[in-house]
Amino acid sequence: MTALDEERLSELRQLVPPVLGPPLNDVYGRAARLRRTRNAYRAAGAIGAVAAAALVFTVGVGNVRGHSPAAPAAQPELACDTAVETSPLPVWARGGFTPPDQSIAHVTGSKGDIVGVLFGGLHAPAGGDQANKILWVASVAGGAGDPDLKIHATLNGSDLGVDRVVTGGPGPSTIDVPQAGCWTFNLSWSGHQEQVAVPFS
Amino acid sequence: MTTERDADFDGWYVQAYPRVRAAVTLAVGDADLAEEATAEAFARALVHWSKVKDATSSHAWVYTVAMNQVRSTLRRRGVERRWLRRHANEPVVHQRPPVEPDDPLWRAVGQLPRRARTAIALRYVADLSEAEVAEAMGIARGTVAATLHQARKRLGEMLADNEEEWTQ
Repeated sequence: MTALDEERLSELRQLVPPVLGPPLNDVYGRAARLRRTRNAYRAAGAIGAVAAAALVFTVGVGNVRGHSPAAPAAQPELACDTAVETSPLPVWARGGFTPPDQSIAHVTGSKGDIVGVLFGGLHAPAGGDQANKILWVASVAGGAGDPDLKIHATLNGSDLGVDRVVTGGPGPSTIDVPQAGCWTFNLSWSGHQEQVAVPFS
Repeated sequence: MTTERDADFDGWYVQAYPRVRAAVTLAVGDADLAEEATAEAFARALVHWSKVKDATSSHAWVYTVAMNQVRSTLRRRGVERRWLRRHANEPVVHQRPPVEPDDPLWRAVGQLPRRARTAIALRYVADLSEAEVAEAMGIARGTVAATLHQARKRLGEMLADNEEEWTQ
């Protein structure tokens, strides 16, 4: 059998629709965001190195690690009153759900770049067969720096704080906290940062 | 905030984007995924433009970044899907049919093993040299030549079979 000649293969190029890329303004905007997140990550590098060196222990399903609270950065608290929304997820977060536009309980980051899909209620302290499952889905994939999703959670109105790490970045997790109430999660991954309110009953 | 434009990058982007996007689409078989990964790769190329413009092959650089982005996204989707299967009662399906040219040659390339498909996409769609394909795929140039030869042979067989089906 004769191999297909190169001239015939060069026809592949003609088959490609003449697509235009995103407008250059979009490319420059995206690059500017990448630079900002990279710079932010570098600025936070020293703090991150200390946090990463802290003692960690495995909890939940095994992909989430927690450690004693690091010195919490001064972050505003978010309210839980309307934090949990039961509605279709943003389009970019629907991968894997059938039907994609089903209503599902979730919390959304303050910048809108991440959602936490909730499977059942969240309880503190965790117990019995009910695990506090949260599926984190981010609209921004990749980026500079450590891909792990780091969560610094603080109980609103208190000094209580815990740190958790979801290895590999946004994805499935089991997040347990020591006390019921409204928790503000400060999330960071791959140079991105977000805040989200999460109620535990 | 104003962003200073780089005429070199702008010209390269306009010329390179369609070919890289097409090569990624053919290699991945998912037009949406390819579009997002290619856009991200070109933004990263702009961030690192001083290095990329002097690279042996800027096309190979951006293609490699795009494919890393694809792998990262697929890995994330895979983890999510497995977790959803375990913890949700709903069956999980995620794949929209890829938007591809309706052509026997394109379809035949899509049926090749991943390495062969990628080599064909880079050589004949992105129009990279064999050396550049080797750089983008992280394999030896001799391996590229052998892979392309095998792929062309297989394509010849597949298209001959296809023509026989239509003429019988």
